[in-house]
This record gives sequence, C-alpha cells and structure tokens, in this order.
Amino acid sequence: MKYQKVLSRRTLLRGAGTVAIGLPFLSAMSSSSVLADPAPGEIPERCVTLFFGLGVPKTLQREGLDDDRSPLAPLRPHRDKISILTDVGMSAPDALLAPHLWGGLMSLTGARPRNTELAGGPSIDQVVKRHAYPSGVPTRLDTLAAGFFLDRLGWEHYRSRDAFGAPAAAPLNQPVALFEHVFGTPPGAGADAREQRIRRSVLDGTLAQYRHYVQDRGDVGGENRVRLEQHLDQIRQLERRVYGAIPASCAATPAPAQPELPYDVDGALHGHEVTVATAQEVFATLTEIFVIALRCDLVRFGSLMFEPPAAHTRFLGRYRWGSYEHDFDGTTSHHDYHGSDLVRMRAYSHLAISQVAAALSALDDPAFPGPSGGSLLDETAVLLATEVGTNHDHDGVLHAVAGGCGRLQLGRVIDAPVHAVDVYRTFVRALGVDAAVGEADLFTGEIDDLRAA
Amino acid sequence: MGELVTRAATRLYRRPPDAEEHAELTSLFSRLTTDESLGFEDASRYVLESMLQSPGFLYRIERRAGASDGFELASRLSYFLHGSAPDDELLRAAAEGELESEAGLAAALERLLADPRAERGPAHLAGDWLRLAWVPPVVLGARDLYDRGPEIQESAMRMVADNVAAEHALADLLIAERVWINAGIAPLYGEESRFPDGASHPGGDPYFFDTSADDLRTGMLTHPAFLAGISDETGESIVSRGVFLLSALFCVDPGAPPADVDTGAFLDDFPESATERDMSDARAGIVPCGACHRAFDPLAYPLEPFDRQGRHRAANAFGNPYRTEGSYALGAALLEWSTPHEFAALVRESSQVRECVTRRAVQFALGRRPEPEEADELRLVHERAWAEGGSYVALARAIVSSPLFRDSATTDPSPAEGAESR
Repeated sequence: MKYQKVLSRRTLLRGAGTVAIGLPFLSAMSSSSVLADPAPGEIPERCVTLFFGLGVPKTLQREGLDDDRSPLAPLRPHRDKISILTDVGMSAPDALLAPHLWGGLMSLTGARPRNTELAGGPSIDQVVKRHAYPSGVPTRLDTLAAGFFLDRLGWEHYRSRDAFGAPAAAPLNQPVALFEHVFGTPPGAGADAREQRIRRSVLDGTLAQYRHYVQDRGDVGGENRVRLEQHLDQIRQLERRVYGAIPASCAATPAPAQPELPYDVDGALHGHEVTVATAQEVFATLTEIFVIALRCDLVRFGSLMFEPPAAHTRFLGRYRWGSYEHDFDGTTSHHDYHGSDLVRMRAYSHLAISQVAAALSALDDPAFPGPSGGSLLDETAVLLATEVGTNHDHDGVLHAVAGGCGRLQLGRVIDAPVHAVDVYRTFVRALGVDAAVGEADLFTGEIDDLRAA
Repeated sequence: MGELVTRAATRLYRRPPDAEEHAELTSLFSRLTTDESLGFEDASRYVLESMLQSPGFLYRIERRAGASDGFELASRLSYFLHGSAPDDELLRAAAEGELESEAGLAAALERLLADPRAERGPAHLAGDWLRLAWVPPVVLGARDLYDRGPEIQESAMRMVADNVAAEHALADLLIAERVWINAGIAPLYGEESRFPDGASHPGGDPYFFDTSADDLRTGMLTHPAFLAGISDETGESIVSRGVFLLSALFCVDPGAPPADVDTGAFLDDFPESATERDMSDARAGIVPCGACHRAFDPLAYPLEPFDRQGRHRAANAFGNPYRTEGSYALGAALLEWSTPHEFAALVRESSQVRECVTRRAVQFALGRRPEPEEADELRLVHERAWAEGGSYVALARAIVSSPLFRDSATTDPSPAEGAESR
C-alpha cells in the first residue's frame, strides 16, 4: 500500500522500449526512478500462492496435524502461523470440464474456466496485486512463478492468472533458469549510449501506438483490446525487470550450480521419472531463490507450485517420514495411484505437504526480520490451494492461509462446509481488497473464523 | 517523410495509418534526424522497425461493431483466399471504396480466385478443418517414414488442390479416393516399387492412386496426414479420434467427461491385451459412460486398424484383431457399415456433414464461429453454395456475397471487465 506512487509515463516507456527491441542494458540507468525503495518501517503488500497437484484425499485430511502418520503432520511446526481448511468444496452444478482441468483452473481463481486453456478470472495473487498497486508493482519483477514439474508448459502450470484468466507469468522449474530470471543481467550490455537513446525513441513511438489502440480507439473492444493490453503489460513488466536495480545486499547471491531437472523433453501423459530426493532438492532450491526474491523486494506477488494439477511425475525411491516409509516405484502419480490407492496417496500427500512446510519455514526464517519485527511469512499473505482430493470429485479440497500482517486469523483448523469461493473472498477482503472474486452463485458467505477479529 | 510513412504503413498495416499513428511515426523520424543526427536512410530504417513492432502490423484488428470498411474487407478477403495480406490492387480497391459495393467485392473475389496464390486458401482451410497441417516434420515411431512429414503433408495438400480443381464438393474431400502418391508415402500403399530410388530417397514421378478398389484404405480418411492430426500423443485413442470426427463431420462438441467419473477404474478392468475397440464396446453399455461415448466412439471404429503414422495393422501386439465395423445413430437413422469404404459412403450422403462443412468454411473466412442469431444467413450461404455443387469456389462465392462476410464484426464478450465483478 505504500508504493502507490504514480510512475511517470516517460519512465515506464523508456524501459518498455528497451526490452521489446533488445536495447542493451545500461548500468547507469539502473538507479532510475522506475523502482521505489521501501520507506523505512513500511511493509509492502505481498501475496504468494502455494499449490500442489492431486491434493489430499478427504479421509487423510481428517487425520489432522498431531498424528505422525498424517499427511498434514509436516505443518505442525507452523500451526500457530497457518489456518487450515479441510473438505473445501470446489464443484459447481455445471462443471463440464474434465476433473483436473476444472480443478486446476478453478483453484486460486474461484471462477469457472473459460475453456481448456483460460481460467475464468484472475488468480488471487493477481487480484491483490491489482488492488494494491493499480499503477504497477514497483519491483523488478511483476510476478514470479516457479514450481517443480516435469513437462513442457501447458495450461496446468500457470497458477498466476491475469484478469482475463490468461497466464500472468510463465513458471520456471529449473533452478538456474529461475536464478537468471530473478538476478540475471539482461542481454545486450555494451551498446553505446547513443544507440540506446535511438532504440528508446523507437519504442516510445511503438508504445504510443499500443496506447492509442488500448486507450483512444473506442472501436477496438472485447478480446482484441484485452490482447493488446496484455501485450503492452508484458512489455512493461519486462521494462521493470531491465531497470530494476538489485539491492547490494542481494546482488552477491550465488547462483545454484545444481540441481537441474534430469530431462529435456515432453513427458506427456506418461510422465517422467525422477527420484523423490531430486524432486525435494529441486523444489528446495526453487523455494530458496523465490524467498530471496521476496526478501530483496525484487518481487511481491507470485506462485510456487509442487507438481501441477493432474500431476504425472513418476516418482522413484524411498520416502521416509517419522517411522513410516514408502517406496515409490516409478508409476505415475496420477494414473496409477490417484483415486483409491490411499497407501500411495498418503505418501505422495505427505511428500507434497512437506514441501509446503519447507516453503513456510524458508519464509519464516527469523534471521531476516521485516519492518514489523516479524518474519517474511508474517508480512506476506499466503494462500495454499490444491485440487481434487478424492477420486476426481471437486469436494473435499484442502486449502490453507498463512501470514497476512495480522489480518488473517491463524492457528485454526476449519472443517466447515465452505466453498473455495468463500475462502478466496474472505482472504482478499481480509486484506482490504474490495473485489467479488470468483463465482457469485457459488459463494455461500465469508468465513468469520478466517478473518482477524 | 509523411508520404513515405503513409505508403509504408499502408502496406504493413493493411490500411492507411490513422492521424495519431502517422503523427507518431513522423515525429519519430524527426527525433532521430534532429536529436541523433541520423541520415534519411538510417532514420527510415528505425521508423520501419517501429512499424514492424506496432499492433497495426502484428495484429489483425477488426472493429467492434458496424459495417466493415473497405480495408477490413480487403484483409478478410485476402486472408480467406490467399492466406496473406492484401496485395496492392486490393488495397487500391479498398481505398477507392470499390469493395463496399457488392459488385466490387465480387470482382475482387474473382480476381483473387484466379490468382495462383488462391491455392493457399483451401490448403489453409483444409489444414484447419481436417488438421492436415498437423503432420510433424519428423514422424516418430516409423523408421521408413521418419523424415517424410513434408511429403506426407504435400500428398494431402495435392488432394485438396485436386478437389478444388475438379470442383468436387468440399465435403467430399474427407472421403476423396484419389491419393497423391509420392516417394514419402509410397510404402504405406505398397507402391514403393514405382520409385526406383526406393522410399528412402526421392525419385520417380508422383501420381494419383485411386483407393476405391483398395481393400484396406479409403482415400483421405486413412491418409497418414489425416491420421496424424486426429491421433493424440498417447496413440490411436478411439475417444480422441471420435471426438474430433464428431466435431469435424457434424460440428458437435461433446464437452468434457463429467467431473465425478473415475476413468481409471474402468480401464483397470481390462487386460493389457485388449484393443481399444474392446473397451469401447464395453463402455457403450455402462451407465453413464455409454450415453456420451456412443455419440462419438463409433465414428472412429473404421480407423482403428490404422496407427498414427498411417500404417495398417490387422491386430494388436497380442494378436487381438482390430475391427472396423460399426453402427451409428444419426437422428432417426441408424448408419451401419463393415469397412472404411462403406463408412465413407455414408458420410458422403449425410446432409449434416454438408452443413457442417459450410459452417467450418464460414468460421474460417470470418475468423470466428457464426453466432446463433446468424443461423438464417448461414443457412442461406449453405443453400447458395450447394445449389452450385458445394465446391470450394461455390462456398467462397456464397460466403463472400453474404452479409455474414460483408458486415462481420468481432464479438465483444468484454471478459476483462467482467472477470472480477460477477
């Protein structure tokens, strides 16, 4: 809320042009006024979503946090900083898409999908972003998306969705690629200042034409206008990335050498094989980079995912938790044990929630207190969503909230007949966002136990 | 510079730049020549660069409502018939208002149809409608066809051109029996001996081969380009093929399966040796699966012996035979067939298929689906086209002369505004 300072049009255009035509990065420009330093003592608005595919079967959700065997047990250390919602509905009377398509596009948006590619509306992180920073987020990255997944990008990987339901950010699954995206220097360094001025002029002219279509021409409407707005917005996001200075305290962040995911082709429905250990290591590294980006104020919004909807990864190797263990045998998580095989689903669910817990731990690191004296987790609104948990129905979907600067009521386990739309509306309204997210006909009421008194 | 900007922008934007665009581009030229001391040639190059990145060049933008102007009609006509931007003559006709009269538009249509570039229109239309453009350059899983993708596609496109040149009904393309044999697909038809250098090297002269007397194959329906497009990445799914054929033949979208159906449990009941057809037969009798699957599964039965590379197989790896016979309830009629040829004959006689082909052609020409309120105009287009035999050219003439084409406006769902306020 503290960064609603209006950015100058000229400043925005300068960088936007840079990216679209590959204008070389000029280090002298990096201290420009494109980005604002947080004022001392002020907490920037941040919202991050967490997601894991397949979800947790209803019967396992009910085992709670205290049973060591329960998939929810990894959340026990965070129980005071998280509220868990079990058995959340995510169905609709007219849900026509295939279960995972529906779940994947409905979760985090609460809106009926437009089609098999487009969600029906924005994801919650983007709703909060637009409300908090209507003129654009004053950070190097507009939105950061990362996740562990083993297929080429498809509809299921985009957790952050813009107002049109289209992807707001392409998720990265390779740690080195994520690092380069967050900290890397844009290409083209070395061009002289005159060449850069020329190219900036060219893009000033080009962007003026985009604005002309989007803002001035009343005869361009509907999806045409939306597409042009998206095009323009993407250029502006890139601009911020180019001109966003990396704080000195973060500039020395070492690049991860490993691990890289051991594949480079599309695994399609048959999935790729990966050891549980590699998956955990990759996700931990992605999480570390993601958290550093938040901590350095290079980004304030985004999504972190462990396995997409309809996950098809073929996990291999022994997974241990407490005195329990399970040998993943390389069968696909979706086709071979999602549904009724509670033994394997228990292990998978525990593995997935362990990754969520690890992300919460990284956010909650006390070594990096924020302006309030609390952790990054305390000062970031976090929403966890999953998808169909039991045999492809849309009922009984696990959700959770965390952080939120005292605006959310935490430390609760809520097992009430609520719908995902109820969760999302309560969440954003607790954050002060007056937007009726999700489908009105599925909304049954706000959840009082989720809002701070 | 102003005149140069107008000429270049008109070519690139497929219409003259409006006042704001023109002012911005000439202003850019002035800044570059004045502030940066660039010469005319260098500054012009950067102005051109700006045009090539502008929305006017990158997007085909049509206005939200109202009658189309001449330049919009020129673009619509040119992309429909030539798959490309309007040429100078079409832009001239647009500028002089000729396209806004029925006679002027009809004259432009005939000129474009007579142009050699007109072969692109039906190729693009068929490529979209029958997915003939989906052939991968590298055909995986078939050593003898490995790098034959371009030749497989060329064969299909020659069949499209043959359909147009012979003025056959466009709907007959799907069941066309004359297959263009080149070195790439010759092995699939047992014709490799006609190519002296062997199928792995181009050689010999391509020719048309009539499959009407062939026991196994029936023209386009079993052509490798068609089979590649309708087979999904998991292989030769009866469901995927049937859903596509239901859409391509009857313009019906069956939607996705109900959310509460556990498809995995059904598949678990079948041994690995079962054919897809075995599973489909069983599924047809299950409630609630059968109600929907009976609407599309049978359409794929004639194709089950053909893999996605276009090869014919009598049985699966376990020796279980593939079967092509089937039946399909179409309205009150029950269509029954034993072979792909018999299935093709039934398709040939179907009025629903013909109507669907008209709908697909209109959709291709407009760049959008016809709206329900346009049903009357769509029917008139169909009647006009079939009064002239239903050929590609007859369809093109009926479509372009229709108010559907002349006055088409983009639909305006305004999704962005409504997304958060439902």
